[in-house]
Amino acid sequence: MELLANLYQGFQICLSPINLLYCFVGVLLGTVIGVLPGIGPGATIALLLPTTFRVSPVAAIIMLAGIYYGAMYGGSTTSILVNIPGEAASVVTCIDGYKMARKGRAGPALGIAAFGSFIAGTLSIVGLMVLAVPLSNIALKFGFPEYFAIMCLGLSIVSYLGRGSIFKSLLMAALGVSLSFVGMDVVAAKPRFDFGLLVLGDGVGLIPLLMGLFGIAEVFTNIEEKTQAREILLTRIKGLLPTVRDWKDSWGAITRGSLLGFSLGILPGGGAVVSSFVSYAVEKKISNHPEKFGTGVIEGVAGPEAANNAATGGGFIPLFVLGIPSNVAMALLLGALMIHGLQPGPLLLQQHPDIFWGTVGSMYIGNAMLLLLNLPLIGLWVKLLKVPYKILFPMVLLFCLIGAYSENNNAFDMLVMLFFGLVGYLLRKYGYELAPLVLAFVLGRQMEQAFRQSLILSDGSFWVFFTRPISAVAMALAAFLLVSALIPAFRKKREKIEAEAG
Amino acid sequence: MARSDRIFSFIWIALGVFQCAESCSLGLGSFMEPGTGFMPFVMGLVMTALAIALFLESYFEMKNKPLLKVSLWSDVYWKRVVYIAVIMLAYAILLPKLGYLLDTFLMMVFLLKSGAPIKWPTAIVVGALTAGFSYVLFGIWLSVSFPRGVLTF
Repeated sequence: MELLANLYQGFQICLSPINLLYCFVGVLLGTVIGVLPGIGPGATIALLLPTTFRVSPVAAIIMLAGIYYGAMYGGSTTSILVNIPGEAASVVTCIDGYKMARKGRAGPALGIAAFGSFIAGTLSIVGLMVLAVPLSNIALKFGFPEYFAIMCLGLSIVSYLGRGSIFKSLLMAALGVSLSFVGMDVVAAKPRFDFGLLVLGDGVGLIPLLMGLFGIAEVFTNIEEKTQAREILLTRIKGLLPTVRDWKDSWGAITRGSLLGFSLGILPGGGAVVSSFVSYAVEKKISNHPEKFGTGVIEGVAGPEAANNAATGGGFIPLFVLGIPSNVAMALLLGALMIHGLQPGPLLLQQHPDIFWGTVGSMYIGNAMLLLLNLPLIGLWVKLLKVPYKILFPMVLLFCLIGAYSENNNAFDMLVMLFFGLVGYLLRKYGYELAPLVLAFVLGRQMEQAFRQSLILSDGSFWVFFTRPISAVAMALAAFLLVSALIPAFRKKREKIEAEAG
Repeated sequence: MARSDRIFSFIWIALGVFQCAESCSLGLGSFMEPGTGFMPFVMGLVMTALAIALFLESYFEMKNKPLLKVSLWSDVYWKRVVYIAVIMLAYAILLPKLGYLLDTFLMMVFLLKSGAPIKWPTAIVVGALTAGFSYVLFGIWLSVSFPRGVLTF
């Protein structure tokens, strides 16, 4: 009963005209950037973060969350029609989606992607609603050692899932934590690593760092390529509504994808990309005709698309319950909440229920909006694919510059952003993953506080992290992951997963 | 990649050692009462250890596998990246002097011309429209206070 009352409150909040507008803007922008290859949801959330400074926190989160799950919807369009994933979570949709389009079945592929996403998105919101409050009550009992251990686990998972050398991923995490030390030490009120620059007194700004690493570095990586013209399947897209046969083939994949996506989305470090790959592998494994996968089967589109959307709902659980983001997009949302003076964690649900329930309500509304946006307007999104990148990239750069400037009205932040843009570009080029860096940067200060307080409480004993059950399990899992990445047999398995991920 | 990994590992080692040294000067405190430099010192050590591991990994990789001489800088337009970075740097420096509208217009024109061929009139029109539109959106609607610069209206 309490659940329904809370949901009712959530709908009241999100149905106010201004929040409804921000929800619409969020899902619309999410769809647009999902459709456009070369701009990911991370970059767009970073790009639009400054536009939310002057609105209420709930409206800000509604819009930014809309961008994230909207991008998951839009990403399938380019995968199916162009064979280029709009964002990473749609990579696997290319395999069968594009083949379906080549066979003249682009309509059912797009249709099942949209319906599957809608069903999975809705199911994951129900899961979020049901699980968040009980889990936050458990999380209230967590102490500093548990928080530190869970943050270590999250960073270990993100590093483990990164491509290439595990040492490179871990180095990025170490660099991220180290960057968070710049500025005033809040415990001792002492400046650190600011090189005497007043502008670094408050530390490295989250916005310039994110925009540099994601917005600018992404543009630099794209513009250096000698791109070729994209081949868009523009032959009339008909029959967007899947047939009874299509539904029969897909419903199992959608259900399994939803459950898998939601479960993997909850894990720190998990997320839409991993769940879409796992869903595809599961569907292929249990199918009666695994040999047909890769030739254009509808289950190969329905499962991963459902999984990547369900993962977005699951990803909100660690953010709202523990204040620990499970992936980069969630780290950006955490940043947004912090900019508005809110500290995500178990107390957020008690002290600011409007934020949580307003976001949950908006996700129902947003999912319905996305279904309406994605199916009837598919022709418009296809036209959007024709916008040349040479026109698009100067605008992205301009928005990044304005975004960095507008936080403090300071041109120095633009220079910081440009610096991180170049650093991010070089790091990407040499095979370094940026996700562990960003996640570690966002968590760095919290990690330090939890680490120092744990040591103070335990009279300087490091055993405090291994004698409490939850922290011991989290630390053991983190250690297992990191050690397994070095064992040859596990290492080969990890490299195989990377190869399959493209 | 193995060769560049070795070079990068030296950069990470230098960074880790620098961080440790700087942390010591901040004060490490004790295990019972960690000081300002304690956690940065630990992270500096971690970074140095990981960098050494990366060096060893790339060393054995180069020893076991024949080195493919494929440059990451050939077959890409890296000069375009440098050109665009310089334009952005100039934009950030000149913004307080030229003001938002003029500075943005100039940057957009140069950025548009830096990509695939676009005619000057198109670049000028798109540049002017973007500067105007973004000013209305951010400067007026979202109340971001941009410097006016030489255009004092």
